[in-house]
Amino acid sequence: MLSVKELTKVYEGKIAHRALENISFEVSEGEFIGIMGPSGSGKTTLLNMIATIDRPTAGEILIDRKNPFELKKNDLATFRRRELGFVFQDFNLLETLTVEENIVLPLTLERVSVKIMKEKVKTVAKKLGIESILNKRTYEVSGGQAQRTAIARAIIHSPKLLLADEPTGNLDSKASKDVMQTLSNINKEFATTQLMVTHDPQAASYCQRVIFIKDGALYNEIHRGDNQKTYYQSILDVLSLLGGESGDLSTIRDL
Amino acid sequence: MTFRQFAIYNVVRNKRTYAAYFLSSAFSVLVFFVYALFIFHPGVNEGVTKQIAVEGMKVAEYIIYVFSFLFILYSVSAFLKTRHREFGILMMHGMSRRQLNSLVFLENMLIGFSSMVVGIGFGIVFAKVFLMLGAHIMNFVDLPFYLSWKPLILTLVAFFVLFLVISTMTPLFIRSSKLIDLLKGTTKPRKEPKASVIVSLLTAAALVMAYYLSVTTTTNNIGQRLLMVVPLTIVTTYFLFSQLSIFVTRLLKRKQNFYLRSTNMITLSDLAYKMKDNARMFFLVSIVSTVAFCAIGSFAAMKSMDKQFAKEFPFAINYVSKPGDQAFHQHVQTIEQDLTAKHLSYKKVSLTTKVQDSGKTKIPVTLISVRDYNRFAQVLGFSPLEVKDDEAYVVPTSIDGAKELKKHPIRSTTLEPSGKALKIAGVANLVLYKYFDSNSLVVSDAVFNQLQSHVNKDNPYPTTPVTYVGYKVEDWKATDGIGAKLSKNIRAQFKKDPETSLPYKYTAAGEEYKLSEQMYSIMFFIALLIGAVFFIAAGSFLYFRLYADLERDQRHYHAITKIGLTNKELNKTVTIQLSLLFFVPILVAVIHSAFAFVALQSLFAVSIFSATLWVLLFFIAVQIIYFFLIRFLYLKHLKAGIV
Ligand SMILES: Nc1ncnc2c1ncn2[C@@H]1O[C@H](COP(=O)(O)OP(=O)(O)OP(=O)(O)O)[C@@H](O)[C@H]1O
Ligand SMILES: [Mg+2]
Repeated sequence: MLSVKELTKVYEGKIAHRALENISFEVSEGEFIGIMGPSGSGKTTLLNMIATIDRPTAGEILIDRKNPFELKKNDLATFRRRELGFVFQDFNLLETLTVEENIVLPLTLERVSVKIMKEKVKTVAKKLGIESILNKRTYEVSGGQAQRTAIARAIIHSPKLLLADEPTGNLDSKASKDVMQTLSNINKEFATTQLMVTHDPQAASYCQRVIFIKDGALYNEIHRGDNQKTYYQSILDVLSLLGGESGDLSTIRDL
Repeated sequence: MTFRQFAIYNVVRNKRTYAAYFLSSAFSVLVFFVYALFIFHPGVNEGVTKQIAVEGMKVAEYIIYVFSFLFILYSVSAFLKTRHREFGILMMHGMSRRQLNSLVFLENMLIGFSSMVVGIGFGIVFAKVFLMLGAHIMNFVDLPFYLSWKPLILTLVAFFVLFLVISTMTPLFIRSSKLIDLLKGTTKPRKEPKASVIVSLLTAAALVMAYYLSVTTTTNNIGQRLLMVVPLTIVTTYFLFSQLSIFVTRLLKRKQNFYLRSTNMITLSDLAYKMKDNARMFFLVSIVSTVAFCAIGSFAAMKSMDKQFAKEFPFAINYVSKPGDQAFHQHVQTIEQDLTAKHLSYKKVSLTTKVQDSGKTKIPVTLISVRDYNRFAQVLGFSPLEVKDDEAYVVPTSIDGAKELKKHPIRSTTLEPSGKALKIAGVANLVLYKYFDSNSLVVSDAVFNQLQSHVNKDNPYPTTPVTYVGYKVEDWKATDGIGAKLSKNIRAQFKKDPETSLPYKYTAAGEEYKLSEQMYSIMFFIALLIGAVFFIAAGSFLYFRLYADLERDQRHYHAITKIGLTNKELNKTVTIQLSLLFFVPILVAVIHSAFAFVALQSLFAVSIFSATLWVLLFFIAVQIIYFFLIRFLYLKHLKAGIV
């Protein structure tokens, strides 16, 4: 489904910064992957490149064996519209729209009929527990609600690949659990392939596999076995090896 | 939500951002429509002044149209620049370039169309008022309410095309198609603004130079000076804001004990950033306001010309009879009857001239005997002349001509064909420039009697000896309508055949004054509306600048109130920043205009100081009201997010 080959990203500037160094990994159809690592290790950078937001300096990304960067502009737009869902670290909701309108945005661009839109919004909103705020404007909702809105927007068109940058960063543990459960359900129900950056080991433990990044390079990888408890423990172990408390990490945000 | 709804929401829910731009566009449409109303009014085809008014308004239509085009283009592209992040998000969600273009197109057409509807709608509803007001300002008595399809259609088509062209063009302004750049949008870290010392000094020097050039302008070099000063001022103004301003704020920042005192730091550090951000807007507002001030100011000044008029018309009624004028006595009688009918008392004087050629230039010269001159001088209260037989005095052809003669005197002349040599003893006081076809000389009675008139027959318009009759009327403005029959004959002849004129000339100062006053009233009316369009556009630039930054400012002030900025301090900081934003460009415009008026003064014999001062004061007052309104709204919005 997704294959990342020797990906390198250098940010040009006064001091060129190597944010990613030769990263390679494969994700198969329907997998739910977590990406973890200390702040500044290059997680957002990696996700941005898979999301076709930014171009890699070297290396290749194949989604369904297609290199999105080789697509024509129009095809790339269609590709994003149909196959990709993205939850930004800072939500990126549009202030002019209500929560509901934000959620249906991908469908609007696809020119789906209003009737189908309404149905889909209902289902998604119910799943994420935001039915009551659908008519509110984005500045009237809490951080957690905004985050769930962003998730709803990312999944409403049932994308093949869902990319999420800290989707639970703003939620309390109960809400975070709900969201993770929803993502997990979507993954199972629609076989949506998902890549999620997180600092929360609890959230990561919903993933089938967790990839650890340190200083822009792959550090480790853990597969979920049968035992959720040992899986969670080993995530914590790697994190402590990486340095920094998980609790600290989740408080550091980049905007 | 359909795609179209999406575009509508984007506009309607952002109405605060678009408010000023929308109003300004609607106002341009309105003014355009009002001019069209006059142009297509059937009543304006009668009479010369009305036709001139129509011509002037046609020019005004072009100016408004071109200005609106630039204004809207600039505004729209500025709006787009603040929306990069939004476009990035949309593209991330799979919006194609074509969809983005059509979104921007739809939004622009929506705003454009509604401003058209509002502008024209307002115009139709108040058409009667505009016609009345316009007729009143322009001294037209007879413009009844009249509304046809023509002005409506012209305005609709013109602005529809304008908005269509701009809406089609604007998507091209979103050039950066790199998604990552778009997404970062306005949160992109801004570089510390830099200023170069050399450029700042050059700017200051150029400004002094431009002002010096305007102050030293004279009637003769005003055209050439304008060509130099205008571009110089425009370029300087740009650098004034982009360089000098940052230079000064940095200088202040360096003075630590000033910089660190209370809220100065917040004000200044933010200001230095804003200066750079706003340099372009400051520049535009200054230049646009200067144009508005100068246009209105100079025409307001021209209206106050009656003093100059009185000087140029020593006799209110002037009748010049040429050879072949059989109706001379009849005409004089008509004039006197008219004067009596109007109960105007008058002093009548008359003289007959002779003509010779100047030996040097072969140009005809009109001769007046000193006895005749002294009779005139007595009526007008000038001192009489004494002229020897070998002397002559020059009678200037205009007030400016008199000044010029004093500066570059003529020493002597020889008359032909008589061969009489004359020393020029000086410049006579009497100004009868309008009535003789040539320069005039006052000569002694003996010389006058001895010379024979010589008319050069080779000249298709020969200067002939004439009989001049002048009536001095105290209340000269009331002489409008005196001898109306004569004026009518002259106009009728001119219409019939402009090449051959009647054997007499006639002018009444009252009529001339009324005509010229009306001309300037027309110009004033036209300049007033154009100036208003410019001034309101400048206000819209300011408003836009402020609201484009509102979100960022909200975050900024939110952060510093958390650190402990009191409400009072916040008000103070905002007030200082806003007043700089509002009054710096206006102040620059006022100073620019003041120097422009000094240069313009060289064109006038009377002072234009008070008229232009009133215009400037009026604009400053409007700006102050605007400032308080915006300050109120802005603080309200700013504090909305702060507890
Ligand atoms: N536009 C940029 N220009 C230069 N350097 C950048 C840019 N964006 C990110 N970086 C640098 O690249 C590195 C990786 O950044 P990235 O945002 O991918 O980190 P992250 O792993 O997502 O961190 P966090 O957990 O805090 O979100 C960081 O050191 C950052 O400073
Ligand atoms: Mg990140």
